Amino acid sequence: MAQNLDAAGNHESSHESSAWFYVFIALVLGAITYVEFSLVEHGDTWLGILGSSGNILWTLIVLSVIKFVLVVMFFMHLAQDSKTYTGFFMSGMAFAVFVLLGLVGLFTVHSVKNNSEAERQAAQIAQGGVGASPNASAEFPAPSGNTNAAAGAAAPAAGGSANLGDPLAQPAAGGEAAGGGGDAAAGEALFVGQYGCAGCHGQDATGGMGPNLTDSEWKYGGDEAAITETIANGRPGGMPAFSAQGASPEDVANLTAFVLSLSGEGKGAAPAGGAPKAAPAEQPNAAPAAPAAPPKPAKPATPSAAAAPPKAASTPAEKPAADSAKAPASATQPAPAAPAAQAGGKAAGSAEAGSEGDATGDPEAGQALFVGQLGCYGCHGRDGGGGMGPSLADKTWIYGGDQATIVESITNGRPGGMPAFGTQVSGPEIANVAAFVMSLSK
Amino acid sequence: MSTVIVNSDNPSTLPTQHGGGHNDAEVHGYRSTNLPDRKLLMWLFLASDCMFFMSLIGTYLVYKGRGHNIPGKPATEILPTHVFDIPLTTVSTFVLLMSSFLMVLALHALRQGNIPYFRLWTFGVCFFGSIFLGFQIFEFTHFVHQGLTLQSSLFGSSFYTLTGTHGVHVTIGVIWLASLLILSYLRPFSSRDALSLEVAGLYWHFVDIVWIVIFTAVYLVEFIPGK
Repeated sequence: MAQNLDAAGNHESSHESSAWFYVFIALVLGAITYVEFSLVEHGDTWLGILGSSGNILWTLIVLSVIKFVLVVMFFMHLAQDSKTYTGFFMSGMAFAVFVLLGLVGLFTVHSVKNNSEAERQAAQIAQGGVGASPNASAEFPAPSGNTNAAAGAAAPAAGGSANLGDPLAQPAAGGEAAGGGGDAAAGEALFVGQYGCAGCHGQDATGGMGPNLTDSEWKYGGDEAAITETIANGRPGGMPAFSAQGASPEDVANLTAFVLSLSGEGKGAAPAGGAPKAAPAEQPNAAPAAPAAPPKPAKPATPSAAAAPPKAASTPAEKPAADSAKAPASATQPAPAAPAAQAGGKAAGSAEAGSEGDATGDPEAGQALFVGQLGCYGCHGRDGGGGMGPSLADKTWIYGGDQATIVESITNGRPGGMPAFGTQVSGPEIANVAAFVMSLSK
Repeated sequence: MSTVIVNSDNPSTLPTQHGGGHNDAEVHGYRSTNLPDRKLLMWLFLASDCMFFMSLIGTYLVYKGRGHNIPGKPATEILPTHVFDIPLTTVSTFVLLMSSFLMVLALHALRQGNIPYFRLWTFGVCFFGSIFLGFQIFEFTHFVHQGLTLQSSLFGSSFYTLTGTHGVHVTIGVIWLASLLILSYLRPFSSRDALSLEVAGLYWHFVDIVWIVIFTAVYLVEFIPGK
């Protein structure tokens, strides 16, 4: 019994390795670390030797496992110690690997499931795709009456003709086809309008809080199916699932076609689709007027809009402007109405600011910006009830609910996603949006 | 090997030389594993720490390639490849590996009763561990300077959480080993204290193997060519 105990108690010393053995292990560990370093530092040479980057990845994994095992077996003495320790440690490791595979697997399975949904959706789109743009326009919602409708329509023209200018300003033959089944022009209207994509991806889609869509880098793939999937079902990290927000397959197809056209992958269809819808076809004056939109009050471009600024001395004056704008809008497409509404909204906003200063804003003009040009509702929801961004309609404020704090939030942004709009719109306009935001929680 | 071993009649050969283990054995009269409690508990803790680190590594990997944006700063994306410095990290990896090597030498020396060498190597472990921490502080400062913070993006959050947790482990290890080193000056040290050092050493080696995994899974994979 005593003999037994002694053997167990001094297990280590009876099987003690010599110091030189440890030196040898340390040299091997150092050498492996150098090889790992060399694998990525002189990657191109290794790429030639190993064939593919996948092989380099596997080599790195195998090397780190070898290091791991060497340290555990010889520095931590598991090779000589009681098997009980090995059992304890390996069962913990097994659980840990299970956790790792579970985590990675959950995310992968989720996207696989979504992919099959995307394929179904793509099939739907293929069936009813072409000719979808009239639907998209018809579906354009106007939940809060005239102001909303006009303002919602304002964005397409402002974004389309001014900021996305190059591909879309060229008047070319009208056409539906871009990418697969979608209409890029209708998609553009949805991008800067109804769905507020521009709120995160920027008015010119070059990115902001969300990624740049005009370059050739794609996080989830730049083909049509991948983009459709992204728009319809969202992505981790902030991209909302627009199918769940009521986007029809036609809308998704149109948005996809537009996004494809941004990076030049729309097979040249964007110019074809964009220009006729954007304005010139029906309102020759609209396009030249629109570029002036974001920084300054728009120049009167259409007869209806021309009437607006003189009347816009007070808030109610916006209504007539918006009303008159609504007529062509509903009669044809949303885009031509834009300059009118733009002019109306801006004029009302700046008139307000002029008479009462920046301290208070005009909630109605603010709402126009909220659901229109700035795309706030893309994150905060159309009624301000929240979505990807926090709800603005409750009494909970992350940074404070007073006027000054809200203006600060809008102007300079906040960590966690709120973009800084101070560079996009003027102070009085921000005051208007702040006034609208404050009115939501009342 | 017998399953029930009576310890009380042989206290001098108990693996646990001081502390609660001895009394425990006398009270209960037997122990089923015939293994030092503290060492067994350390292995059990390391097993659970494995799961902890693996969930953090898993979280980092799952979020990899997503959310590199800095809010409010259009078109600024801080990617791992922009901020990581592989030569620097390789050096700090090497430093940590060598500290593990010195750790084994320190235990070897203490088991042979060679107190001066035990002190030298243990000091070496603390010194190398501190160098590693210095590298990490330098790296974090550098990254924050470039705009990558805990709040700036998913990449920032998961990266700092993972490597920061590892850094805390290293800090605890340095403090632990340094206190053993100081203890060796306060009271007589001998090979009977080897278990205390061995348990601390197990912890130290574990911190090292976690870094081996992080070095590959977080740093090296970003720079695989042709990816």
